[in-house]
Amino acid sequence: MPPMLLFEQALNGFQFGVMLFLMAAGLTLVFGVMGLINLAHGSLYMIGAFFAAYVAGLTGSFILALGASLAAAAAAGAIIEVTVLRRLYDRDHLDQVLATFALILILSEGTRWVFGSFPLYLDLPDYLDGVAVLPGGLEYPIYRLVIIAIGLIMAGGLFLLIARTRLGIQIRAGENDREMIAALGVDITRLYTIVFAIGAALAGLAGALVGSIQSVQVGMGEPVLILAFVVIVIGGIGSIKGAMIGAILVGMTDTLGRFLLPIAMSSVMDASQAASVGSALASMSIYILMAVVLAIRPTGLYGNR
Amino acid sequence: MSESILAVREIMKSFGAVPACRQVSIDLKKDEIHALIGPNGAGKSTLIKQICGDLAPDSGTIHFLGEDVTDLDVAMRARMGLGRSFQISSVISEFTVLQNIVLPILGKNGHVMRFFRPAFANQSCVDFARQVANRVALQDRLSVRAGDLAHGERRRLEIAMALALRPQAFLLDEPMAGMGPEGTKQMTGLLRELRSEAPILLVEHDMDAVFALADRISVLVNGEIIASGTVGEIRNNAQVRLAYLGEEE
Amino acid sequence: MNREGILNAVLASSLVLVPLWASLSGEIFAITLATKIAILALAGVGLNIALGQGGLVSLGHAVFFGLGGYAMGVLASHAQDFVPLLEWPFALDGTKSMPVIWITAILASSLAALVIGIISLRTSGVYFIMITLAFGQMFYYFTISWPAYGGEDGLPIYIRNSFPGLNTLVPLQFHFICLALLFAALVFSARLKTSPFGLALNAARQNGERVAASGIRPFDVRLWAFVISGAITGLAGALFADLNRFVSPVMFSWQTSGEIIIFVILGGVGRLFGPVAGAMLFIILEHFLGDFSEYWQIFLGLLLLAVILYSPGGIIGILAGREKSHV
Repeated sequence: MPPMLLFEQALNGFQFGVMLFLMAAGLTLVFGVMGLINLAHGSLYMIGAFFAAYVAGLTGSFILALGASLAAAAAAGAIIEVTVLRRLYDRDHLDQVLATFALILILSEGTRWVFGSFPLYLDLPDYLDGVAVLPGGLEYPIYRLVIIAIGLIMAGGLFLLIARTRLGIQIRAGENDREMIAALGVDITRLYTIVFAIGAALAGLAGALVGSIQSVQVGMGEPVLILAFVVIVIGGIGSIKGAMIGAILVGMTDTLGRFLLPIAMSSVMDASQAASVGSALASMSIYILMAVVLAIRPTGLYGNR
Repeated sequence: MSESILAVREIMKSFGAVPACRQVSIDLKKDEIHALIGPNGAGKSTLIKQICGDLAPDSGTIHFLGEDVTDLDVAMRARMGLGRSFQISSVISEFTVLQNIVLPILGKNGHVMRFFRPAFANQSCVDFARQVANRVALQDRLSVRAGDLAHGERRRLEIAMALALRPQAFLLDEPMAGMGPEGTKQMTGLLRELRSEAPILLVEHDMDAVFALADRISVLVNGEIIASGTVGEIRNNAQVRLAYLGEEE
Repeated sequence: MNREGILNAVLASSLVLVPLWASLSGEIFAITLATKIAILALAGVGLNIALGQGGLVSLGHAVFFGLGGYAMGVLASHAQDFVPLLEWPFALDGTKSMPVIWITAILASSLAALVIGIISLRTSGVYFIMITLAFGQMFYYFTISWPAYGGEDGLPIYIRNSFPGLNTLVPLQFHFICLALLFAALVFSARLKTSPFGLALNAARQNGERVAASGIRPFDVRLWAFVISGAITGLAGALFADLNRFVSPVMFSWQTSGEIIIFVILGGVGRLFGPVAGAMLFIILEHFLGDFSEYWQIFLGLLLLAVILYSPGGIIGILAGREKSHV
């Protein structure tokens, strides 16, 4: 197997991991601060993608489309938080799971109703639609590099936001002790809405970015959502750092597993069988990874409880 | 060590760099009430958790009824007869008083993996539960939800759940906490009766109750037993007065 | 009889009488709907043991539903193609016999529940929800990428499996088979609740620490509950596959897990007939709202949201009030 191919797959895995981080960051933040488990996070991803495709179709500008995805997902997130989710913070996880499952039904069908059942396509502008030659001679799509860059910038921004700003201090305080931030005179209700909107915006952006590689359609959010859950469970729920490491682990495991397992299998069985066994194993690999992590550390890599 | 029902030997436990128990040894002998006192944060809860099996010590051993139970879990130790009450009342709040008392009887008898016959069809089990309820004066509250009980009653229910294990030792964590003078008096009387059933390791803040009940007292400060002796000895121990009783007065 | 008892009797008898009426008046489709309700309710009865009695929020019960379905699919496909299931180490043929299929489904799903339970029950809270969800996905993607039994397209079974002494091709007879199993599971579930095991399980839901201090390992009790729960849901999966004469990876999907939870919650969590009421409402809504609007799931979502926010006791809670303590 040529090393270039492996390098390319590793980059793909990294890019996938960065995307997963954008999804997982919001989930883990919302859980850490509000104690809410939000299945409808995938719907925000979908909403971001749809609005990006819609605005791109209207204006032809990819930058505006990305901006629209951030704004639409943040707005949708804030609306959901204010109307439904804030009633659930004190409920048990079962109620949260079900209510947000209900939100998925409403948002998915609502989107289908507004945008129709056919997939939309978000076309890349010419300046992103080419390949770059990386050191070592690997030709790699510019757009995927851009995704990695945007994802890393967002991740860096999020770390700075949490480490350096006033809002970040409040968020960290909220993770540790809800009563304390109330005692400090912080408007918790507003803080929660803001935290939720930030998480939603990141998910929406991820949806738009990925929507340009794949198609934009109803139901696109849920598979990613579940992967993001795997990420935060591996990383430790509530931990941004854990989400970052978990995301890269999952992205790499999934992508490289799909690439390497069929090859590995072909050394012990015939080619067509190897392909199917390999891909079956690869599709399970991240769940196996998660089960192993949890079997060793029941609260994930960076979970504290 | 033969007459010790419970023997804790040189237990060490630390959380990260913070030591919570340093070489703690403590015994519970037949027919005695052994009180464990100490200021808040002295490591009493950590010690209790290790004795009942919630926490594993870093080193040291715990023997119960002559057996090494250091590696046994909470349920195993309970089934051997370690009856326990918690610092904060811990009962099954949606269950009735009678159901609460039946639960440890099932645990003790090993009758849990029975899936079809109603638990209450076992007459001897229910009769025993009623007897236990009588002993803690809850016989008129059998069908009340535990969550609806008054604080003192819930405390007594916990004692009943410990009693239902036919215990060889009681481990009672602040049974008087939050009780008024009347409740404390009633509980003191109850504990005095329980002593004939099994020895009691009693963690308690109420010094009057401790001095009235205890045969022996051990004082835990900063994760160390600084003194151990009879009520008189502890009252007159200068180190204890300084470290602990002085702060109380 | 109290109100819940009356309500339960109404629900049970409607599943007997409506199909009888439908059969007499030739409304075959109504029988199929009733059968679907009975089967999905059975899946819910299974989940309700883990969720309602044990407080174990499993978002992975589709695993057991799907395994039940594939137990039927694999056995029946080998039988219909006359290809032996195994030639080595011993010869084993497929089968079209329902009882054999059911036992296989129950064994397969119990075994899966045992393994998944041993791993998942080490965790609790959100981690438990997530890890059960992940196991569901594991099976889902495995069946999609494993080509032997239809892969993503699923596996059709051309003729319904047989039951000794009955003609399962007659909708009413198949319905009563499913209904009998549902009733058996309801009786079992009711007995379980008052049994020593049920007492320990319900106690472990509320206060695991106290259960341990009572000499009972909460882990053991929960694991058994999870296995029993998975076995019943697995049986329902086998019947569901027989109803549709088709199995596909969708049975393993997390939406399936979500729907099984919906039956339990809409009906009333922890209530004996909760899953029956929930499945009935779900199927009726799907059928009638589905005719009325392509987007019927919006209404289902809104209804579900309303139940969770304003009436956590579900339908049984609304109609029969709070559960009375069972002593």
